[in-house]
Amino acid sequence: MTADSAALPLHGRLTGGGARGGAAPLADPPVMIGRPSYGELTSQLLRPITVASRWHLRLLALTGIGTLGLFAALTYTAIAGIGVWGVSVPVAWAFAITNFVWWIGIGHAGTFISAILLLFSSQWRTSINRVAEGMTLFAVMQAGLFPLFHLGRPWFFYWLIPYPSTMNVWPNFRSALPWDAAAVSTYFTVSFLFWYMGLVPDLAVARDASAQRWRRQIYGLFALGWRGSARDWSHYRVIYGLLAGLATPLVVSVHTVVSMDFATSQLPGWHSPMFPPYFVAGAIYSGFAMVLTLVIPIRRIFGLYNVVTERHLENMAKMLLCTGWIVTYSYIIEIFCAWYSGDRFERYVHLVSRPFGTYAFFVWLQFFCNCAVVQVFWSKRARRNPLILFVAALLINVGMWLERFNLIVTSLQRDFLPSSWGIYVPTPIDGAIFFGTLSFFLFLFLLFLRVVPFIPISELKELRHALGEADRRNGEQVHA
Amino acid sequence: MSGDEQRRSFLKLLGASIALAGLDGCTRAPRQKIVPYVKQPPEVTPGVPAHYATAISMDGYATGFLVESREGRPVKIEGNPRHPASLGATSAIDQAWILSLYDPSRARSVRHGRRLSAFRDFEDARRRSAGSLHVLMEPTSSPTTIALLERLLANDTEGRLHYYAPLARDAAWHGAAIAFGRPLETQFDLSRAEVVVALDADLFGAGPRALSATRGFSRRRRVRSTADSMNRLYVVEAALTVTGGMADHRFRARRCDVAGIAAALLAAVAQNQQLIQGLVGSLPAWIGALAADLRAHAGRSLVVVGDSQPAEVHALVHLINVALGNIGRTLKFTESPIDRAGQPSHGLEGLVAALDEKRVDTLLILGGNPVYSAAADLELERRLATVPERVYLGLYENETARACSWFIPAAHPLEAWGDARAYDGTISIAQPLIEPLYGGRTSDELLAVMSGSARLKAHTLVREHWRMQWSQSFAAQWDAALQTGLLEGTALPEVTVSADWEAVLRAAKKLPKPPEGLEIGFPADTRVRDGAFTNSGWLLELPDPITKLTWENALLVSSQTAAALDLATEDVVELHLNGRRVSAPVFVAPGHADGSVSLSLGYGREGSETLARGLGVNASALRSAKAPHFALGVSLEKTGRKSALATTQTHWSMEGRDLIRRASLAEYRENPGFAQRPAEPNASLYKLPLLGEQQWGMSIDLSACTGCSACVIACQAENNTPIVGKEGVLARREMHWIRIDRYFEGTDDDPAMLVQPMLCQHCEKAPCEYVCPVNATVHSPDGLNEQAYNRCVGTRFCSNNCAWKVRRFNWFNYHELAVRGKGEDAQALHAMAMNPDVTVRARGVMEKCTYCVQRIRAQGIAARIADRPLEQGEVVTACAQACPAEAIVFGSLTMKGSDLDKLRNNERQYAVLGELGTEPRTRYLARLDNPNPELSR
Repeated sequence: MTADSAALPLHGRLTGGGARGGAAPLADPPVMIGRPSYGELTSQLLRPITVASRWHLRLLALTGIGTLGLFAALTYTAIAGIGVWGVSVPVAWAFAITNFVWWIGIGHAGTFISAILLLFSSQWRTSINRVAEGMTLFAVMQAGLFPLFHLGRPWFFYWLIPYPSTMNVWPNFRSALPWDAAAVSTYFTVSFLFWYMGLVPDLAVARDASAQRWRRQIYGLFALGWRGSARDWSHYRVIYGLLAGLATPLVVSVHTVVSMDFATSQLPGWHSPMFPPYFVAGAIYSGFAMVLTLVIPIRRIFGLYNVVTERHLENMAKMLLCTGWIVTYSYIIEIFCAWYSGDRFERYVHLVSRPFGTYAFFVWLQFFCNCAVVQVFWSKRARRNPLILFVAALLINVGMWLERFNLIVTSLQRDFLPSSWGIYVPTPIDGAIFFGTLSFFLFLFLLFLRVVPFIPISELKELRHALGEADRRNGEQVHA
Repeated sequence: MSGDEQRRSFLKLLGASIALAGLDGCTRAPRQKIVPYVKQPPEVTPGVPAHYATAISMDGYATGFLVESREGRPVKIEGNPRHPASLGATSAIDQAWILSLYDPSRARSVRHGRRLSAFRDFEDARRRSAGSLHVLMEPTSSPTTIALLERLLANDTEGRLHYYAPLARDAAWHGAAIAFGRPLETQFDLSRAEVVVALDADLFGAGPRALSATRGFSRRRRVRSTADSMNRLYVVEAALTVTGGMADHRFRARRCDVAGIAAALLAAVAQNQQLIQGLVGSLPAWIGALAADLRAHAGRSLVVVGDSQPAEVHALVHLINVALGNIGRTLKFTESPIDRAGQPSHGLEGLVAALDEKRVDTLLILGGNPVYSAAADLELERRLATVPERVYLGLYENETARACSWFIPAAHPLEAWGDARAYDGTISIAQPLIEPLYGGRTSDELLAVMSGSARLKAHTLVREHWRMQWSQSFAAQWDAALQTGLLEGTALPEVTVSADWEAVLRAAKKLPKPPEGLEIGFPADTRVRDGAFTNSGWLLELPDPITKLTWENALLVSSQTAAALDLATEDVVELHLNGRRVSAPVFVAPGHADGSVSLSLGYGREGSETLARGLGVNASALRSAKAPHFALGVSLEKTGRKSALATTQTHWSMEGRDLIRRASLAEYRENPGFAQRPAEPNASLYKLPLLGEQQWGMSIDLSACTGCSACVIACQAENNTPIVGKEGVLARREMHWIRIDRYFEGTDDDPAMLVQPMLCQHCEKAPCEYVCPVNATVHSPDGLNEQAYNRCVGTRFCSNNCAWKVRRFNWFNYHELAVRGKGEDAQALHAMAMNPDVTVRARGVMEKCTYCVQRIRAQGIAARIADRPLEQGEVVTACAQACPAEAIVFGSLTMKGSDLDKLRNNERQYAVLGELGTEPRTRYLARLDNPNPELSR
């Protein structure tokens, strides 16, 4: 494909204009700014993995230390006992399950962007989908730690997996926890395959662009012998679409299954059939917030303004607004139904304990972060402002963490018999594990940024080609 | 380790932390060698329990027990159904004797000064010593001991005997002496009383009669249909007790005001106000109604007063009973089974005088812990230092041991031969269940040595004493005594009395009128009593029935007093009383009298021999010998500090939830089905067929349960439940499989206290079963919700889904933590206390009440072997067996006509949280009260 610097058409849509914000006021911002050549694109997108930077290595070291802290805390827990956490009876689940649901939820946005938006053929998914999918993978890895380590006897975790055991005992399929095991492991497997398959052509690009022999060999190994032939591309199309198709239902099913952990119980505040859609919406909500949190700094640090434009940011903000409103609506319906049911226990949890009880501050903070903060995105200016987006995304993630925490802890701490009411206070190990997973996540993510082309090169070249065709068509229209 | 191995281990550890089997994660059983008998004793069959009757005394009063022995060691204490003080039941303290037997902190060797010594050296020293001998011991009723004391002191004109216990019943004996001319023991029978008035008397919680009083009261209160009648209980007290919780009417009063109330009651009952001229100020409004009720039930009523009230009040109460004609009907008098009751031998005054006059050359202290428990102003430790030879026989190297020159380890009551009398005089011969683990001696053995006889074993001493008593067929009588646990017909005979009204009123007039001001009371602690049990982890962790406080005591203060002084629970205050001061944390106690505070005895120990080291406050540091039970003139000063108090229940309101359903007797008669609201759901998508021949269930009568918590310790003993320590309780991790939920209804100041034993409900449609991912909790064909410990991975979903929160999780390896740092044999001792029929759970595993499945299966097997069906009453759970009130009934629903069957169909029956539709097998009988219509409650 030749470099194309065709005449700039007159219409606003699908044009670049060469500078940021060159589009007409009411039109969407462009999905790619400028029409770089394929070579320019490739070199821009390969630069992060060829050029090392000091800050990157320092951050890697820092998060590496945090990761070691995570492993130390987990090992300590496995050796000494779950008692080193703050859990007790009645609150037997707290930070661990909150973190589990939070991380899994975050992962959903990645799959949404990669898979669902692929099936909708949306253009704005292209540049951010690999970052998002990587985020999903690393988030699911964090999430997977918790169902394992929150067990009293984690060395028997495999009893939750159906295998023909000499004990002749199978898992209890009526319980939501084996469903969890199945859902999370499926999610990780499919996400990983999807991510990797999509990565193969770009690993080939990296292989071909590598200067040193060892780099060529390693990238070559993982590129699985990609030649770029028509047959390779044909296979690629099929498998990419297939995996997208497989991953799409996971966006809905995984968090539905996770929500069943609560919905199938009988606790007031958990026992709600509304949970599956409510959790899925919340998951996508927090996931998009995390994508924004990651993409905005990356965009700035690596100078990716031309491929991750305001269009991407704005669309993500619109997703936040949409899912944020579903979440808000869910809160309203939950509280209304609790009141309408007349059930003493439900009313107590939703109308008394949560808003005015021990954790009232965190409940109101949750409402602020999840419901109020996102309203700023009704303003177009806010939707396109990276700083506002970043701060809002952070607050939304805090809010979503608090939502899971409040859900779990307030329902447990004050349930049916007042004689067993108690409170939950986290221990330093709880905190160490949570911040440890953040470190581990960032460590993996930074490694990912360093090693793998995190903006899909081949897909962006496709987009560039499509945009070029569209320009030409628009130009012909005008001329005609 | 070579480099390769180091790397390998490091990698293994790293790998372990990510996902896989932690190397040290699984707890391995300690490597111990099992050694079979070389010569198996004929009566011991491994795996088959044997029961032996014995008796243990507290302050001289014996309670008879049947102790289960496995492989030659005792593991569980049950009540002796034939013994009058037990009637088959036990108290929480009784159950805990097992744990103290295997206490690794017990003293093990004779000590002289700082050096370890031997008993032979002590004997030599004794042979060489001369001079007057004074003996200080706890009150005793043991015929053998009394005879030995007589012999010992017969040859020593300077020698004296002193009986002391902080909770001794001197006031009761002196009160009888005032009223009837000589010290007598009151024997009452609650099953005959229709109206009972308790003045500062914890009938069901304290004292040698607690178990039989609870049984008698519960029998007279039992209602099974609208045709039945109930007794009525009035309680006047300062701090809530389990007795006050049962009361139909409870009146709060300072302890010092009880004298005036007794006098007013006497005048109202005798209908002669002249009697009490000058005695009483203003009469409380309810005295009239109370007196009227008593008079209406003359001869079928009973007025009782507690041991902490002065003798004059006891005398007044004797007059009340005389005026009501209760003597010979609901109560009678006998000689006291306690040696020299009411004589100057009791109390420390004589000893203190002798010490000051340097008349004591050798002081022998047998048991108890007088240096700790004596009133502070006696300064016993300082005075003891003047005695040349001080010998202490004790279980622990405690405060008294540290003040003595010779220390001899005592034999535990379960290791000792002896005899004793129950409160009614019935004699029991106490036989040991095991040889003394540390070569401990009994008081009898020491007395024999002290009197110069050759060293004789306690067995010989007791046998010889009874050989002399019984002229014929000694062997048959001896065997019968040991088998049944008591000597038939040895209850003390009734004594006819005539009351001396003049003497009583004269004495009562001498009582000082209590001024206004803050009073402090020093009640016995419900768990450690007077400090005797601060080494028992089970008792320390047992929540106090009223405050649910564990591991320590606190200053109980009423809500009004707290508001007036701006105090909240956990604030630390400094108490000042007569120049002595002590810091204590505050606990705002609903139902406490205004103008009064309470600080229970038994805590604040500092020695390393005690498990409760540094916990709680030593109330004895404030007490004076003149006013040992309560005193006026205390002042509180806020320090600004806080001290965390570990309670197992922080919310005492039922929040409008129908958990304990109650009604008055009148309401019940009008609407017998009152407990059936709201109607529980019957509709179900599917029915689970349960195919077992038996279908186990339980019924708990909330009208009978006092909250004494004997069931809690009985369950802990039977099922090897660990303790978690104060930190564990603060983190809400207590492990009790059965707990007593305690709610208050009404105002903070004067609430009704409602208790409810809560254990696994064994739901037919258990919410815990469907959420366990690994099928560790399943349902048995005979209706039990079972927990398979070795399948549990510890997700704790079952605990989350249990609406009653009766499941307990092993957050740490509590059994290992209990013996850590306690010495080499601590682990072996800890294991000896376990019931071998019940799995000891590992870390990370969920546990809960199993309806004592080990007992069900054992009886089932026995029935199968004998080829007969199980009969009613054959299987009894530990909690049901211990309960003195017979509140817990366990049985099979398929046994038509059985107790459980009848109770299940009783109209008062309901299920807690029945609206959840889980069909629990554990049901409750709604609580009935019998208020006096004249008094608005």
